[in-house]
Amino acid sequence: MTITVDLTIYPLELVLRTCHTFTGRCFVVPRAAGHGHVAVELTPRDQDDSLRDLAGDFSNALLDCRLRALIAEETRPIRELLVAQAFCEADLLDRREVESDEHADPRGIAG
Amino acid sequence: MSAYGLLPFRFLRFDDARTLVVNDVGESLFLANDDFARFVRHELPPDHDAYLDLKAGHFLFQGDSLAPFELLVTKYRSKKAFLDGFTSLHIFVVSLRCEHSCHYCQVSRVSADRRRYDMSEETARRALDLAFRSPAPRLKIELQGGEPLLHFERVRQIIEEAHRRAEEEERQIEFVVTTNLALIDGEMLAFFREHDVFLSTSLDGPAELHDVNRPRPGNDSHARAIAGIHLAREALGHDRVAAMMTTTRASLESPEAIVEEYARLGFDSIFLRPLSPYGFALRSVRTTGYSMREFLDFYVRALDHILALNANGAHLVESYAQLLLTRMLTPFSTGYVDLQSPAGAGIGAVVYNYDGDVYASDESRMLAEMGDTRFRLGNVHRDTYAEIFGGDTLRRIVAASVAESIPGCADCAFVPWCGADPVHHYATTGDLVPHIPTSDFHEKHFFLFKHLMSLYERDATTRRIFWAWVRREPMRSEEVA
Amino acid sequence: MRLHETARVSGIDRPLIGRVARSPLAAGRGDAWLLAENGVLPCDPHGYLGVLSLGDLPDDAPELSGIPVARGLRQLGYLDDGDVVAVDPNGFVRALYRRSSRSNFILVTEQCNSLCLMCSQPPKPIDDSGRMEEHLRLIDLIDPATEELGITGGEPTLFRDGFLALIARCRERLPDTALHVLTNGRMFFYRSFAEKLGRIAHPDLVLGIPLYSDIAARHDHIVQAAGAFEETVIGLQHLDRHGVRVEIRVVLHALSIPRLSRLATFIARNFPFACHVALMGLEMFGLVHQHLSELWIDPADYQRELGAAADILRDAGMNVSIYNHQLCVLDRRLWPLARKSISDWKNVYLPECNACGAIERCGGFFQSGTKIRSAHIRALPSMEIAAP
Repeated sequence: MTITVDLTIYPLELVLRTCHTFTGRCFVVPRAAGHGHVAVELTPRDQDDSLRDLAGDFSNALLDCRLRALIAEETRPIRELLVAQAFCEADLLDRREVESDEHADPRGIAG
Repeated sequence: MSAYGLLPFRFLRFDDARTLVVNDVGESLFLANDDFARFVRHELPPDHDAYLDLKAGHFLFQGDSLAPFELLVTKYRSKKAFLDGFTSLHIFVVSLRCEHSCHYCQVSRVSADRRRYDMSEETARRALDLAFRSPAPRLKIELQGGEPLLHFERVRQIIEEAHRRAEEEERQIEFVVTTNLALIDGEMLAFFREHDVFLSTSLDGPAELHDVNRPRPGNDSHARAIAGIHLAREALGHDRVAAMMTTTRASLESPEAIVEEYARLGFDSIFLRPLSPYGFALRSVRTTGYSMREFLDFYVRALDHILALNANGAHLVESYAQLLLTRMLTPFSTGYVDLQSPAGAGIGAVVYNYDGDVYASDESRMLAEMGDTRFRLGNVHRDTYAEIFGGDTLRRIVAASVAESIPGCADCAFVPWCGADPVHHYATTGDLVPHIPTSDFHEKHFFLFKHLMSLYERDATTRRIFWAWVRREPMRSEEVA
Repeated sequence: MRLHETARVSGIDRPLIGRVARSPLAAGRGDAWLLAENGVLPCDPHGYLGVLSLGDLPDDAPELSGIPVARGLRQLGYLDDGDVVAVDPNGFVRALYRRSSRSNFILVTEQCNSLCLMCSQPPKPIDDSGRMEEHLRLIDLIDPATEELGITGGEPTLFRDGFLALIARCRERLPDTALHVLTNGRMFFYRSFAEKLGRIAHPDLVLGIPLYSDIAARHDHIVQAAGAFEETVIGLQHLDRHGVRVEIRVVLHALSIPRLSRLATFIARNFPFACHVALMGLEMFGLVHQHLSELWIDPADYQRELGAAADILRDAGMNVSIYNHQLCVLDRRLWPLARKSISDWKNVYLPECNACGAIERCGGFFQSGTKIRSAHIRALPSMEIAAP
């Protein structure tokens, strides 16, 4: 069974990533299909695996793959900062307020 | 609508109605599918319950408060706190000799009369020197074999010397001896009692099953194990003797009977372990082999039975579920070396073989016995601490074991709870990095996390049981039916 | 029970603080108030700090000339040896410390930087920093055998260095006394303040810090201070980092009940180091009356939420107590968590409580809490209590 994917909607990287996640369930062969499309041939390893389910699952997986990429991209700076800050002895953030003191009280906590 | 930003998280389509979101410190939340869709499109209104839960749960932030980030940093450090002590578990293979011939043995044992497979006094001393170089505040020394009691003089030497050094250096130390208990006697028990030693033994199930899996001359492994357990409990205390089982093809039929055997003997924990693809187990794969799917079916039945016993007041913990649940439900780190990111090979645990060779894990040692020495870190007689623990071999293993950057793992919702086992991946596929879609390691853990989460959601009794396991306490009396 | 009253004073030109002595002392007379009862002095008052008289003393007694005297006390008849009393020149007499009580506290300041909707100690915008001297003197006079001492306010940390000095003095003079500080914790947003407190290394110190919601805006609304949540949450982290034990306190009312389980989860995940969590019934005194419609909920109506929150915290291995709840409105299974938490001097029972089989175990009411209370208060027959 072949699914044709429009590369203007899904970048090739994401298509290939989705293909990879299906290599347990089927044999996957992507091919160029002209005019900005890629044709993905899916052959289920298990003969009882329904082609309709496979096609539906692959399409949904493409959508989720794209969503994951978007989320990862959006949260990448914070994720990197989180890991770096967790392991770093020095401060990577602007913590001038926190590292001030109760006498200077730049935040005016004492009211 | 005031704009909010996303904090790092991953998601899983859990079932037809719900999506599970998991943040980078392993905290999770179920969302109705359309709430999830609005959440990721930044369209959740600020008075919506899902918005509030996501905000307090550190999945989204709004405004410039430092608090969410500061809390996440603290929790991230807590989760990775297992890294702090570096190598804390030091495994000594004191001898390869053994009088059992277990079908699935992952140690290449030799018959009882080959003394050249014993660890020498000098090797043990040098290995201890290396162990004590570790910065870990708490050391755990585990003595294995073969059957370590066949070389009891070495066991005695290692424990006595380690105990003395620990006292001198004011360090905490713990001892475990892994033994089939067939040869335990009063003198050994007195020694173990004196040094607060824990014993870990094998109990595969009722006698019929256990003896088939674990042959020895006289075919009395089960009887001897039971006798040994009773003697050891009497001498050392009930909670100083633990048991684990190995699942073989024959075990698959009898999950309930195996659990009942543990309950009957008054154990408070059982570790349901699948076969490892190493050592003699590979050779006998036709008689003892099974698929991961078959193991998981067995596991589900066994766990159901364990939960039923707990619901009726018994305190019997399944150890692997306890580990996974601690990851899923608490902010705390767990030091289980085979499921960590980065993996615990070398940096969490290390193995000193009888001949002084040092390995990153038991699996690495097994591969060497089968001819592949690529995971040998060095030798206690030849190499320095820096060469062994800071060398290229170890670095290569660790670099391949950060699950957060492995394709297939990096996007997985369960990655904060999971880990990597590069030596296992290498042994089964020839590559340090797993091929997730076909990996049995992935299949097992993905299934277990999902299954445990489903059970947790299912009913309050199961939740109470799981929390009691995580707290390492019996259930409170008013919780029991 | 009253802790203060106004007396007729003579010979007092500055505030005096001293220990009560009901019989002659061999030593320490200069720090002691001789207690006169029924017009009788136990001995010659010379050498003592002064005289406190329960009831009257003749004005012109020669032995009292030139000696500080406070006469006509009627409410403080419970005073006993070792209790500490302050007398001001204007006649204001305060029992600052009672040896026989488990509820002694130092009210550090009446200023506060929050204005909680349910505040039972409404702040006063005065500069009372001059009280520090009195507090330090009080610590010097407290019996070192005292088991527990509260440090409260207002907001004690507003005194900054003074607050630290207080803790240090307690460490020095009362090393065996457990200190329990009530504070909003906001000042510990500045890490160095937490570090300084940690460095004092008091042997038995707990800071009781309120947290009313897992949502910043809601907590800030309840305490009427923008940014308070952020400061408190970061303050809690700093305190743990510098080895100071913290307890988290939640007052239960209509604004905190709806998300109580979520708050419990938030506490378990973010402050697992807290040594205790107190879930507290509302004290019907102070500012609460100005916000009654926003805050009041009958405790009998939130037992499900309370139970769920307690379960979450206990599942996570945290120590939980329920304060200020009468047993008749508390779910039976939560009774083991209930404590007799109300300070003795404001603790009362209703007449109907005398018939209750649980009166020995029950914490009773606040003095202020007997008018607006649960509609479900009732004496429990003994049979009902015996069931598990």
